[in-house]
Amino acid sequence: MTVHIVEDDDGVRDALSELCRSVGRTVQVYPDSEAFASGAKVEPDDMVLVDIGLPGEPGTEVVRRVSKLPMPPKVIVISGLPLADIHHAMREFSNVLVMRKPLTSELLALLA
Amino acid sequence: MQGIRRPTLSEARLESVLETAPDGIIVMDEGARILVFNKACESLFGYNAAEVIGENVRILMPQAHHDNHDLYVQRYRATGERRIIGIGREVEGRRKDGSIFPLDLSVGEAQTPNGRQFIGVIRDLSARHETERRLASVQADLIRVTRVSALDEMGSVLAHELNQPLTAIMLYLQALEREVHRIQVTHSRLEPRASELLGKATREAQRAGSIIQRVRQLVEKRAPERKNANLNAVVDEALELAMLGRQRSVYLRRFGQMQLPGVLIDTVQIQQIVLNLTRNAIEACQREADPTVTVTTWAEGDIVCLSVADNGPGIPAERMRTLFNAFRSEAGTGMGIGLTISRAIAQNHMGELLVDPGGDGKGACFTVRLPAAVDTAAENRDSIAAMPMAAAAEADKS
Repeated sequence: MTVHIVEDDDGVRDALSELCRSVGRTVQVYPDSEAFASGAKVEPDDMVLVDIGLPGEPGTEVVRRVSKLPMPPKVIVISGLPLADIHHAMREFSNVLVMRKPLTSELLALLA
Repeated sequence: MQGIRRPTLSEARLESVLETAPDGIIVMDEGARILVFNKACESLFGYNAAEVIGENVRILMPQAHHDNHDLYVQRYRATGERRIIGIGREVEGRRKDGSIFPLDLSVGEAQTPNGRQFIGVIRDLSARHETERRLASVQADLIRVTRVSALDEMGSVLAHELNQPLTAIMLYLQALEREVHRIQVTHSRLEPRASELLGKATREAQRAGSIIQRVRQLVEKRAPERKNANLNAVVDEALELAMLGRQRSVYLRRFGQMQLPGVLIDTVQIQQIVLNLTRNAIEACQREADPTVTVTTWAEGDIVCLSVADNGPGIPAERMRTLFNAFRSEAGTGMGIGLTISRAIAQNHMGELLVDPGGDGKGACFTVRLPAAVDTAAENRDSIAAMPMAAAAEADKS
């Protein structure tokens, strides 16, 4: 199983992939939503970690795209946005896990 | 004037001039006694001419100026030094009801067979003062609003900018902890020092995280509500503020598509973007022969756009790199911070702020793109309750 990380901040993206690798996961990284759309091969048992505040197409597009797959993998949204804006951005998705930055060890628990 | 004899032609003319003049006209003699008090004066001061003719002109001044006026007249008679005659100045008048009002007074002097006389022409300044006062208060409001909202935005931008590297640090520490653990297991060697130091580093990073969260909560608590607004009206109002008190040194062109879809926005924040971009644009093109700022609004599908373009020299390539990164660039100019905040506002509205740097005879153009409002607020609230949030537990602690 692969963890797909869609995050524009270089530091956060690299740190996320390091953490995922440290628990033995394969990692694919994408700097934006467009790169994910054109390059990602997502399997049902993969996991997608996506930041909503991306330049260009917002991260919600990634969520939408993934949720349309016949067997959608697990999606975790990460965001540093104010709570009200997260709610607003995520208003059409009812079953997506959202984690706010800075991320705590809960993420590690989900990965393990 | 109310003589028994028929007035002469010139007297009749003077009479009609006095009665129809829009300005107040007072004639007084050397002893400051009122000789003429025209119609306009009657409505300005609330006295009938009959009530004041023969009185000392002091009756039309606030108490505080009474003694001074006598001194002024005495000094002029003694020295011939002109303080107001032929100059005119802003003074205070006192109405019959005791109220004080600002007036512009010009004084002329005439030698007559009956001695020296002084002619005062009076213009009421209350209206102008009122306008100036309103203008000042609108400007003060604007400054206060933008300062408060800029402070909020600074807080949230700063929290966000710090949050990113901090997030990375905490993830690296977790990865490092795993790594240390792995070494300990595979080499069956204990590294108590490494574990202890890692623990300390993690605790400090968490402390920084909780400070950021507190700042964020402070800002979020005051987060103003979004409402469905017409971008055209919001922009027009902001432009009015941007041009307020500015000499007409810049030509402002405004193109707006009628019937724009609504946008779900915090109008004060969006107006702040417009103000910011417009001020930058004015500054950028000020040295041009015909400085022109063009503000356009239009819709592209379900995106509502706003652009602010100037006809200045454009933005040099070396400035482009750090244009939006006020906190990362060496020289944090006012424009940088304004743009950083503007972009943060746009992004917080699920929109974006784009720039075309121009150059080669083309000015810069900034474009804000905002998603059109989809649906009602009620639906919005339902989904908040329905959304599971793992790490959002922190929000409940507040």
